Amino acid sequence: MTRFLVLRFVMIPIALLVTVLLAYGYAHVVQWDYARRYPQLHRQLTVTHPRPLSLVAAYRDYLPKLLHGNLGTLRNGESIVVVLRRATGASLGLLVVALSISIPLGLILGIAAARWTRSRPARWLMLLATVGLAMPSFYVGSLLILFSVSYVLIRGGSGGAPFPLAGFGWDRHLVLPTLALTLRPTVQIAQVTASLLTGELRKQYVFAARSFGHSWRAVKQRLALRNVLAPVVLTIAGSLRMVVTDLILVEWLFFWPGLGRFMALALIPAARTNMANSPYLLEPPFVAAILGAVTAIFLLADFSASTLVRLCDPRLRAPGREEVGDV
Amino acid sequence: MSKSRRNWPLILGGGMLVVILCLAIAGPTLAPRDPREHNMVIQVEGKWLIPPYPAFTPGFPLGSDTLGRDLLSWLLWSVRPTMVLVLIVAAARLFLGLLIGVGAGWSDRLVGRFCDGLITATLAVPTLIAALIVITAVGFHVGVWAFVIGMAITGWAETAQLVREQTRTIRAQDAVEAAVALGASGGQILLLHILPQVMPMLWMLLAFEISHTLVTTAGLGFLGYYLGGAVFTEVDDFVFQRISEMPELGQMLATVWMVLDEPWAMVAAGTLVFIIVLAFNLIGEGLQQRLTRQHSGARSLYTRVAGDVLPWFGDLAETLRTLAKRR
Repeated sequence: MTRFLVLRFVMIPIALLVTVLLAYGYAHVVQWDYARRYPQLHRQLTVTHPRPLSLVAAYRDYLPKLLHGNLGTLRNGESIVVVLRRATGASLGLLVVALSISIPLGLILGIAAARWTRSRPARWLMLLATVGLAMPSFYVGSLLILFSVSYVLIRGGSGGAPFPLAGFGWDRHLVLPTLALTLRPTVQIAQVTASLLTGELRKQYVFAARSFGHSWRAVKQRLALRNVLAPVVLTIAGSLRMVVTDLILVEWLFFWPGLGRFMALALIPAARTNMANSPYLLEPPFVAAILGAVTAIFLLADFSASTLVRLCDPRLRAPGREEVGDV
Repeated sequence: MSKSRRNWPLILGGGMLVVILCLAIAGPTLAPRDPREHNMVIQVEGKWLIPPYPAFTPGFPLGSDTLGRDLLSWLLWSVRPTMVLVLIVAAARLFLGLLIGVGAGWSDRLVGRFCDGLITATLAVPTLIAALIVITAVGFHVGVWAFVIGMAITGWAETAQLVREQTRTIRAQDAVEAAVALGASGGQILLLHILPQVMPMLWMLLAFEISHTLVTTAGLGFLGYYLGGAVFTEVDDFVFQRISEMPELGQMLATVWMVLDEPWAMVAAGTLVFIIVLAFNLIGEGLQQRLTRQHSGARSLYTRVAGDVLPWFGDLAETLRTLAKRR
């Protein structure tokens, strides 16, 4: 277990460094490719570099700065560290709130839908899951906006929407983005929990426990749930990845200044801006920093999930299983 | 067929697919206007209006864009090109998934290990982020191929993972062992035993691929990456409006959400995406149920959903499955 934890922990900065360097190289090459097609971007770039730097020269310039913790500045002079810190805080806050709702809710729904009489969980969950998983997060967000606008119209236009439709704040601004992010992970966790529990409740030890006089509820929550906890933890970690991907769309929809929105700004010419004027578009140190931050979240989620799984399931801590999980 | 044995997901999904196909084929005929027709000024009840017209304006049920183009007509025209794009991408993903999945499941040598590693590595990269990075690098000027490459480059991994598992199951069959004993070559076994047993999964995999591809296409479109590209026009000092001349669902999602207090058009486009995704999810689910009935012991619903998540954890997920079977 200790060996696994140490190995895994050592791998995180290495994987992170590789991602950052690859992202930097990618953005450097693509940025100059775009500059050849868009004269405005070319003019902006040539202010600092009259001629395109070769990739090797660019790395030689970037790597020492990176190792000293200097992530560089944007074309408008803004410090990347400041932007990154702000964006990471905004995204992590949203993620924590969304997951603290979806994890318990998913588990409660999953436990409620698990059945011992049939081989499949309750139909209502299947229906909920089929519909929920077919709903892209931005569509859920647009429905929430529609409800808010309808609410305002029903009230005759007096007063504003119950919750802000856009912008950032650790108050009512959180409500709509959180709801848009919560649906898919909730149904996924519920579906997996219910299916696993349903399978578990058909095993012999459950009937033995019942014959000793334990109630179905006690068997389900004290015995069966403990046995399926490990894959459920992995599903939760997988849901985090799904939420991070959805974060790009939800932050874009609600103008939430987090990692997802900045990633979109770094990679996509926004609908209402001239792409050459965006200080974020394909700026190599910025692309590297944003992709690095997202990768760090993925890696930490993997690490936490793999550790938790071993804590949940003693069989995985047994000798000979140390190397398991080195992805 | 008894009522309980009816395959409701397949029936419902099939019915919805018929409607979607009708919309794709007859949509342009049903459209009340030419979607490219500019209506820069209209008269309603004696008042002169300039675009964008709000929803429910006479003659513009879903409203219009800034050039006065009817959004309902735009929506009806957009189904066909979107579905063509999605089908091309899904077919490419399916082909790659089959090829690499069979390779990983069949071979124990270097090729098999390479395919295996490729699947694990690819599953770790979220499709939307990979598509953003690749399409930005390839560029809009490449047209439809930018989307095909962008969405197929990582999207095949889930299919490959399913095919790999199926291939390994078939490989362990007595019939294959007997064929080896009788001197059949690898190619013969592949053609006569493996492929005929993998092929029944094809339609189910295609249905899920179409659904996943459409979600990614819609997400990309929503962020501003859609078929046909766009022209930037300066509508105000330093404000550029993206104008597209090609009706496509992703393009609709990108352009109609700009005004947050008028979300009807966005909800209409999003609902269409949701219905199509739901239809293909139901068809996939129905086909999976049919396969499960034909071959007992086939993948359960849990493994399909969890299959999207657990592979990221590589061997750990495999170990958990093995332990669950042993218990």
